[in-house]
Amino acid sequence: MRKLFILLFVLMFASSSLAAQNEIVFNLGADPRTIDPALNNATDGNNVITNIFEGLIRTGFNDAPEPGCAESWDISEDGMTWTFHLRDNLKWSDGKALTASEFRDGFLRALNPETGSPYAYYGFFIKNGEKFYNGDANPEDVGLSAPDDKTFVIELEYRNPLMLDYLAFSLFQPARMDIINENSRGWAAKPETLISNGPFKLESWKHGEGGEITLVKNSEYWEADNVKVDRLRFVFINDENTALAAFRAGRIDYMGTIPSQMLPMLLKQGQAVSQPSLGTAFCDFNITREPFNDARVRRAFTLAIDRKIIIDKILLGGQRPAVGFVCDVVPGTTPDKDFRTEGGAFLPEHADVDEARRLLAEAGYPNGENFPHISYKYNSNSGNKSLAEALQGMWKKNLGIEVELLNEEWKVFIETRNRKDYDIARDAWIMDFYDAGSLLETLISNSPQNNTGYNNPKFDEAMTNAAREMDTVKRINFMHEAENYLMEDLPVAPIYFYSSAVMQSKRVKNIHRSPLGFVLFRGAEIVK
Amino acid sequence: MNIRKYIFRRVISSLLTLFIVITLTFFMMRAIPGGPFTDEKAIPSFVLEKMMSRYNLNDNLFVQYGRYLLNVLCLDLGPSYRYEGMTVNELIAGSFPVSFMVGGIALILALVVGIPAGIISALKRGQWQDRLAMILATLGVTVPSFVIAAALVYLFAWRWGIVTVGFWEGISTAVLPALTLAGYPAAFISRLVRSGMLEILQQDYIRTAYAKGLSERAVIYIHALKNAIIPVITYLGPLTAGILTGSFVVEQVFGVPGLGSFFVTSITNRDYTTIMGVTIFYSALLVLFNLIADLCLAVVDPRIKLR
Repeated sequence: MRKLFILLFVLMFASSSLAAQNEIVFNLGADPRTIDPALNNATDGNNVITNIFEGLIRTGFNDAPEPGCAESWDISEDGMTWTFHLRDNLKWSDGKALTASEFRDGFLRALNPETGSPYAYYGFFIKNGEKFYNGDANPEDVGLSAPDDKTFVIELEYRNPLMLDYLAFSLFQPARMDIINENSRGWAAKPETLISNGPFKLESWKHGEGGEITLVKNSEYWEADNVKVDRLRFVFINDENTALAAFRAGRIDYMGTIPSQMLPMLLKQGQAVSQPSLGTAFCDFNITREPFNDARVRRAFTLAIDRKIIIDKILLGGQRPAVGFVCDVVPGTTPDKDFRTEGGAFLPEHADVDEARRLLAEAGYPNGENFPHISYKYNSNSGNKSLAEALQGMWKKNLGIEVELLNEEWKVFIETRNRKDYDIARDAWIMDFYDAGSLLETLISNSPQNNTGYNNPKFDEAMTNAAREMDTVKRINFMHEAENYLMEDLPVAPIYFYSSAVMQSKRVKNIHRSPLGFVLFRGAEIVK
Repeated sequence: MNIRKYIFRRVISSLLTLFIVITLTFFMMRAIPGGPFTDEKAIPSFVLEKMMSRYNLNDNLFVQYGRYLLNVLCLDLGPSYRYEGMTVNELIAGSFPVSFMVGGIALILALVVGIPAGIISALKRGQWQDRLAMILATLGVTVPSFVIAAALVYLFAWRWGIVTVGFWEGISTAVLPALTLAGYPAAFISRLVRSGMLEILQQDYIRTAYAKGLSERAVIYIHALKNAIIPVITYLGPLTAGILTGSFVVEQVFGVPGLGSFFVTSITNRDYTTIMGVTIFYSALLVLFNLIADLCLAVVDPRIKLR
């Protein structure tokens, strides 16, 4: 009887063997809301879309846009008409030929108001794109056409210096309207109807905690010979400790979900690697009301923050002090210098207590006397709490000002911050494109992301100039100009530049993580 | 009273209960700030408007409420706002079987361990068996499930490496979550049985049974247990509904694709239809199992009249 029990026990747990041979397991962390290219606006969804679809342009392993389904393109003299030439023999994962008109369908679907795409405005550079979205133009009026099966023409509303980056974005994919019309909301949720054209295709999707998405190699993909992995399992393990236990057991090959308290040790042991990530963490100041309507007070609070201590004593994950608003790694005017190096340091790494106190006294609050009661708001989360407490301590010690800490549930917090019902609020931004403008534009006066009330016409003008400037050097210089205004006014207090740590098992290689956050598996290989 | 008539009346009152649950949940849920499309990347207001109207979220709240009630009557819980292309019916159908399996194992464990433990400690009152059982029971009741879960993960996955957590592979991965879930109810049941037994063993009719010359076994298992088990049956109604619908903590820690997570994540996602769907589903199960428990009580104890 006892032997039987032991046998049963062994049998029950025998399935916990290592991952299957030609399969890579990636912890996606969360179950995506959708993997419909037109409807997704989240990183988790993007991770799936970029591995199963391929647009005209794709992201290369050097993180720059490179030819995807389009082999080459011609640009008209005025720069307003782009003609893309598709590769030969492009096919969908079900074997049907992929034609240029299906690119037109996909782009139109993203712009169609009926679709309700959260990123539709990214298509407004296309001629009549915005009018079509607002119901003021017909689909035929939109500057998209497919003169033959292999040629796709885009006419522009205005010149877009980031045109190729935009086209590499997950929104701009071809669409199979014969399938989508049958089930416009649900087609992307089921493997039977999700026909795609990228390196992999959807095999199954089990929703919720503990569920997973499995992808298999798409043998119809034009570059299928270079895809070395047969199967990808994207699992949704939300609990970081559980994920780490599974990684240690050899069940996960690649993941970014690492318990923060374990991270310093894992980095030190070389089990985890930290890479810069394109984003900045900062505080918003509510500049529409006292006391932060006074630039001197904002500067005093900004200078009282010791960025180095926050990184070395609290975050411990390879972040860098935010000495400006635009993070490092973002391209500058020349390839050898990034935007940050060019722009220089606007803020010290350590606190500048003397200057901060001087400014505070000048603003009428010597040693913090008579300073109104203010609060710092953040969304409930243990990491945010540690940061909030550090900031509170620094403001108390360096300025003599007591700041109350208030935390709110995530969605409540987003609304509070957006309503400007705060004095100082936690904020952060991860970029959508490999370009400084992606971060700076969030503080344009009419941007929906501008939570501070910042409204400097000079800043707006520099950003408008940058948005229409086709010459890269000039464009980036406009953005340097914009950042100069911003760092003079300080509607936000930059704190640190993001990093993201990943753990990768030794059995896999050539998994490419873009600094924008998504992970490409088309070149991945299994070592043994 | 006629049993059919009794069941009919209970069903009617259950429907009324469900109606009240639906109404309260609907309006309380909509009073929370934030919506399904509230996101860090603020969606421009004209886009948001269109997304909201696609789900008819711009209509008058009472119109939405009325429409929802009609759909529920047709057992249509609507589309999920969080999982594009999935209906709430599909989400429940996909995750409930998993929770049912884990919960079912846990329930059986709780009964198989809890009832004998209670009987033994009552019979060996004050002796080491009783002390041991009650120490364990106190631990079971007081140690929260996330501590038990973490301890099990540490021992089985980190220390000994005999199981992997985070992956759902059927019954083999259901054991640890089921153990975690069973801890509290097993402890609670053993305490209920113990106190019931202790009280009943003092009763005159037990002395009579012994006096008639019945064996100890017959006295305890037929005469005493039947009465001692009554509070357990009452407790089993809500317990069954709760345990079969899963637990957020246990599912998070072990990576179980069950229903329990949706109770929490649907609220943080403001996935209105899923909040409603899982609430209704749980309430319906609760009402159902309470009814079953009451019927069982009437069978076990003829003194109980169904009214």
